[in-house]
Amino acid sequence: MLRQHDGDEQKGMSGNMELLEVRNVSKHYKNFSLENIDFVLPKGYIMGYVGQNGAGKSTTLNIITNICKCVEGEVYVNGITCAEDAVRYKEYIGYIGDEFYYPDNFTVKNIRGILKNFYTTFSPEKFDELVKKWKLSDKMKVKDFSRGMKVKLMFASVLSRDTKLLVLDEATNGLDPVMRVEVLRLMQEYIADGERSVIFSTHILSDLEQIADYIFFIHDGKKVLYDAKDELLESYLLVKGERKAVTAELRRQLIGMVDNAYGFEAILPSDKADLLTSELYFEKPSIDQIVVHYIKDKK
Amino acid sequence: MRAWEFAKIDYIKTKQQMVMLPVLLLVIVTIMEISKEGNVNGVTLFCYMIFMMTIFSTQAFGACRQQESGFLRLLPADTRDRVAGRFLYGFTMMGIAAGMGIGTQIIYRARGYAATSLDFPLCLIGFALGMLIMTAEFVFFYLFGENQGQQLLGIVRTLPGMCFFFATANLSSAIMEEPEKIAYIMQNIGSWLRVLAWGSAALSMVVFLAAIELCVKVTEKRDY
Amino acid sequence: MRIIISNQSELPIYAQIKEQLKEQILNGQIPEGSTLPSIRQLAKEIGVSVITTTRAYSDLEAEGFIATMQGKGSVVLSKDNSMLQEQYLLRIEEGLTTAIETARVMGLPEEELNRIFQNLLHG
Repeated sequence: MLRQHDGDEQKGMSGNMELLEVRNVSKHYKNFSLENIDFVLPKGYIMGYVGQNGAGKSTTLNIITNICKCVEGEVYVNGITCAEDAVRYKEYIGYIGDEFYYPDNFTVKNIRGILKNFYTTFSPEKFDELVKKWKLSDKMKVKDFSRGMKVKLMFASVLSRDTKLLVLDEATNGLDPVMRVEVLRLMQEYIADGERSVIFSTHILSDLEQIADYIFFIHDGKKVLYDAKDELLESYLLVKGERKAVTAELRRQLIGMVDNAYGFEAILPSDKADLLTSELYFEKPSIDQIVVHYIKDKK
Repeated sequence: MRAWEFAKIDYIKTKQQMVMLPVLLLVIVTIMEISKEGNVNGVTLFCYMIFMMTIFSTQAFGACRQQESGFLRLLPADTRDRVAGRFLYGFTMMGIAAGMGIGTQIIYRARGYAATSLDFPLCLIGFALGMLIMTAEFVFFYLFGENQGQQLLGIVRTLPGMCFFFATANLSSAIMEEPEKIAYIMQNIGSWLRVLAWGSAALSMVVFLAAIELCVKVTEKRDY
Repeated sequence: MRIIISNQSELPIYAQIKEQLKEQILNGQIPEGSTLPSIRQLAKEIGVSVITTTRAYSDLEAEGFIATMQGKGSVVLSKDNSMLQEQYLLRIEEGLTTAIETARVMGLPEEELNRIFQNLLHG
């Protein structure tokens, strides 16, 4: 189903086109299982990883970053697995989490030193430039930073390295709209040269709507939808109307029908549009609406 | 060496607690000075410093939130580097404690305290014992989870203290019961106490290195 | 060059980009022979996904408005290529059809319509 949109990407054809390959990854916990997650993300694109809380978003991202180990299946980043070369693999990845991960009593200076010692591609000049640009105090302990500053610091530490894959786990959570827009812009700048990719999870789906190239929708540890965003948006229609206008045949095709006192709302695969009667109203759905109605059906 | 870089991270993390150490030393010395009657000597102070350090060095685990552990795991290095770094940190801390212990001894000697030939082997045994305790604590943390947090930290910290307390209490009561016998042993003990000291030091190092291997194996098989 | 993306529009985003570029090429605001920004550049500037922009460009290419050359980017084609000619004719037809339909609605005689057309053409 997934179409490859190469366009101006000819130069990349010589190397490996997939920056991230997740192959049949499963992980079992006592009361939750991630089952057979399988997808690829080509170089130069953004993937939105969507799902409810507890659907397995963070688990998947933690497996990609190798924070979470012992899984079935393989993950390749820029062609290598973590088992093959842990150091190189981790150099490729830049991770920004929902929660701030630097120890409380660290200062920006401490972090700069650590990054310099560990990462061969770390550029202290770039780091200083970003720290200055975002007005992050050099001497203050990071625990006294605001949420916005913490996110900026994580971005500064990631963007000052030569990474290939940006993994963002709910990184826009708790940020004000101005900062959210800034983060989205940073992501687009990151992939602009066509050599690097971003995978990010979020439940603020409006963030995804515009900039994501691919959408992976996970529910209860399993894949629900996975496609290029534009394809996905065009594959469904949002149908509204009165319940009595729905034929039995149409009812079978409607996904996640939600009733209210005056009518219903559901999504319908676009190729079943001929089942619609003139009494029903339809429009193009948002990712939000597709997700909400799909989840409604899974319950 | 990446292990050393990890040790440095632990050091930055626990820096605040470490500042307390010399302050503590000063307090102890002062108290001992005031209560003149106790048999204050360099060995007791040295062992006390070592013992304090077995408690302080576990701070590296306590300051470890789950997310921070995530950050450490993200750094480009093997599990071995990370675990070895933590142990290296512990070892360095014990070294610092020993240094401070030696420092106080020097001060005491300068003030006229007569050192005996038993001082060195006794301190070495103290150091070896401290290393063993620290190693045991670290292994305990790695076996039961690096991030189990404050409760575990509390238990682990009090355990060696209790052992020390009961051991010394029993030993001193044993000495009280048969002072002549002990005095006799003490006179002849000199030569093989040295052997015991070096033996225990060697043993503690072997255990220390084996513990690193064990903890690497355990941690490699674990998610958090 | 000017592109405005509206979330309220019924048109999908790629179509909005395509239509606006087409409009500006046809009315000469984007001159022939000029180079359009690269797909990734444009995507970044207007804050839409790369795939969306790629689709707009490949549609424009298929309709003969632009040609994408490796290393040179996308160039606006000359107006006398046949595919573009067809687009122009289509636009003329559309415009005239609207005029004719309006004339029919108000019952304007054919000669009168012709006269207006001639007047506009030469006036």
